[in-house]
Amino acid sequence: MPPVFITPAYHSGISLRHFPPSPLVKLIMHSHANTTENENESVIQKRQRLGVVLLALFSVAYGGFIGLCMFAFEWFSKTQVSGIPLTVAYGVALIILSLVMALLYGAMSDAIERASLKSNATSSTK
Amino acid sequence: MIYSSSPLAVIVFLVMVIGTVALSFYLGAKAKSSEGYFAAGGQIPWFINGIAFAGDYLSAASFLGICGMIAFYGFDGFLYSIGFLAGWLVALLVIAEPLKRLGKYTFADALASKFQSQGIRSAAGVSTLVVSLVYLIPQMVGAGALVKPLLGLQYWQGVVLVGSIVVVIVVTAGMVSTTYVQFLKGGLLVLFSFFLTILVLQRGLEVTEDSPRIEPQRVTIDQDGKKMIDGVVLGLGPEQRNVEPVGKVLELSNGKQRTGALGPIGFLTELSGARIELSQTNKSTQDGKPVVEYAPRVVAGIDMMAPGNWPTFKGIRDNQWFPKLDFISLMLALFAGTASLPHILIRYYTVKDQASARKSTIVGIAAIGFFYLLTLYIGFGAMVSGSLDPSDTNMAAPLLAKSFSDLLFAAVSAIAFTTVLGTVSGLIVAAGGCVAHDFVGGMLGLKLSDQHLIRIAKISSVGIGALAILAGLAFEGMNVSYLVGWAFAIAASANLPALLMLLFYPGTTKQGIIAGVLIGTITSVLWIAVCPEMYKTLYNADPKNALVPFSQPGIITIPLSFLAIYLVSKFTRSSQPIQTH
Repeated sequence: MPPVFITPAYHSGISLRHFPPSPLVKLIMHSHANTTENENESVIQKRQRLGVVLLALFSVAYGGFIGLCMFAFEWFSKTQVSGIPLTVAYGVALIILSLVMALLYGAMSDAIERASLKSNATSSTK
Repeated sequence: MIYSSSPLAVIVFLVMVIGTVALSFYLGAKAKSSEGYFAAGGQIPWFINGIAFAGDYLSAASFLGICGMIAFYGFDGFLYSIGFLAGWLVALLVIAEPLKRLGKYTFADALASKFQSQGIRSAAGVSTLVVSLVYLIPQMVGAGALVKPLLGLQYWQGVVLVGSIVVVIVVTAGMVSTTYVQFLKGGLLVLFSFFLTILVLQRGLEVTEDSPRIEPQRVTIDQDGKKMIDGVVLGLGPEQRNVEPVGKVLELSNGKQRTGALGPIGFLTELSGARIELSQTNKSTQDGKPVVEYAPRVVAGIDMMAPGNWPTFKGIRDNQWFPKLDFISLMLALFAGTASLPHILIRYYTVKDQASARKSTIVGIAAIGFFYLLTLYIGFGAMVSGSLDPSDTNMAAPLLAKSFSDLLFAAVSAIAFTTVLGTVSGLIVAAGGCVAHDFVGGMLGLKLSDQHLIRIAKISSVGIGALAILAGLAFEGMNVSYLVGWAFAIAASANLPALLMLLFYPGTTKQGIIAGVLIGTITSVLWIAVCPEMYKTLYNADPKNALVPFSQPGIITIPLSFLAIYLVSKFTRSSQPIQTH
């Protein structure tokens, strides 16, 4: 069935037909990963492990930034990268890194879920 | 500074506010069930929810507070941008999906899911209410600051106005209308900030033709109680004088007079080689009456791109430990606090499944991260716009917009105002839901119909709105970002340790969770109540007499909460071990 934006009767009884989306928004909003709420424990654990590893990596970058602010203040504020102080460059890099990690986690989680669905489908056909 | 209101600004403002309230009425009238009111029936599309996350999160602190702090103190404001965004990774990577899996309406649902414990529900309810109230304070302070130039109203009138409008919105609406208001507001805020940034880059930097100020501007109060500036009545009339704006470029690198349009990197490079005239506020008393002095302060652009210009962060340049601990503590609270804020956590229940929770968080991170990059240019753009009000750091972004055109000022101020409305309504919905579900339904164990639950939530919302108004009046003049830092510290101390231990430590018991939430909440609130900043701002006392050595509690109270959960769980473990998720 093609995706339809006009929602079925909500529990709340609210229709969202007054917010017609553009085709792009339709595509984005309905491209859910093929997951269900009845995920098996191994998918949950794999995703959780991935989250913890990525968070640990980001924490090192974030902690490094705070450490430089506090313990290498002179060097940190005087060093320049392409004419911009390293303080600003590092800060901007942290914001970009957040987005990269978020996208990476999203893509890898989708891959884990797809692999699980595929393996479930294979085992059920057998 | 005294502002005159423009009819255009008032019209744009009224259109935005009336539109927001009308949308709330329209959608709110259709939400009949409890699930519809508290969690939008779990049917909000993830993209909409992601932008609504931005609308919820980009509050007065982000738009007004951070931009203002960057404008006056440079890089220190950007530290907040970095910390606020970093916290979203904690939310995405460890909290979003489990919370959606375990809960239904409130944060307490997820926490109590394994034990069906009314104790956990009550403790989590207390922390939700406390965090919501503390987070409401800066929103009200921001609202009071905004209406002064926009509508020409007094600070207290702005606070009362916002409180009243929000209570109307929440009482007539619910999570669906709040979500769509947040979606529109979040989208508009990011778009207009982008537009403002393009204008800043297009204008570039230009050396002022005015001579640099040598004498400070001195605001006193005369015998009749009138405010005077340098001996002349403060005002906009013919025989009166206003506070002069600051933020002028005195010198550019290589003797240039103007740069012309600049790119994002070129702007920062040119700014780092400039000298800028800002101001420094000194407060004292004379004959028992307050005297405020705005002394000229000339700074090098390169210095403004280093941390430690804001008096509160000054200590990180020294070799003393307490200021450094204060700084680490704040950055830790920002990192750990986002994933513990009640109005953010309840948004995970408005989407249909875990994948949607994850995807909406990623959309939220993209929108919020983009906005925080823009704060760098809006803040620095305001710093060199020649339009800063030395008496109010929170007005930097709207006044930057005013330096371009009155229409832009009206639009930006109206968006900022609806930003406050949106965040406040999100917080009040979270707090009202918490009273209905966690206290009345959970702690008292009353089985109520949907209609009764909604009614209780609405009545609670009125009370919480009234408390927020009173608190907003008490904290006038404080930088809203700093106030938000405290809300993050309380949330991070009360909620995050309990959530993480529940998810990752198999030996956690319900007594451990209750202890962790209560100890985290109580210790962080007490710490703030007796900290130096509170002595200075609220008690008008010498901060040296404060009972604790620094103002941000997170570095002490977050580990304390973890420790409490671990120790109490260890001693009560035989009763009920749990499975991790």
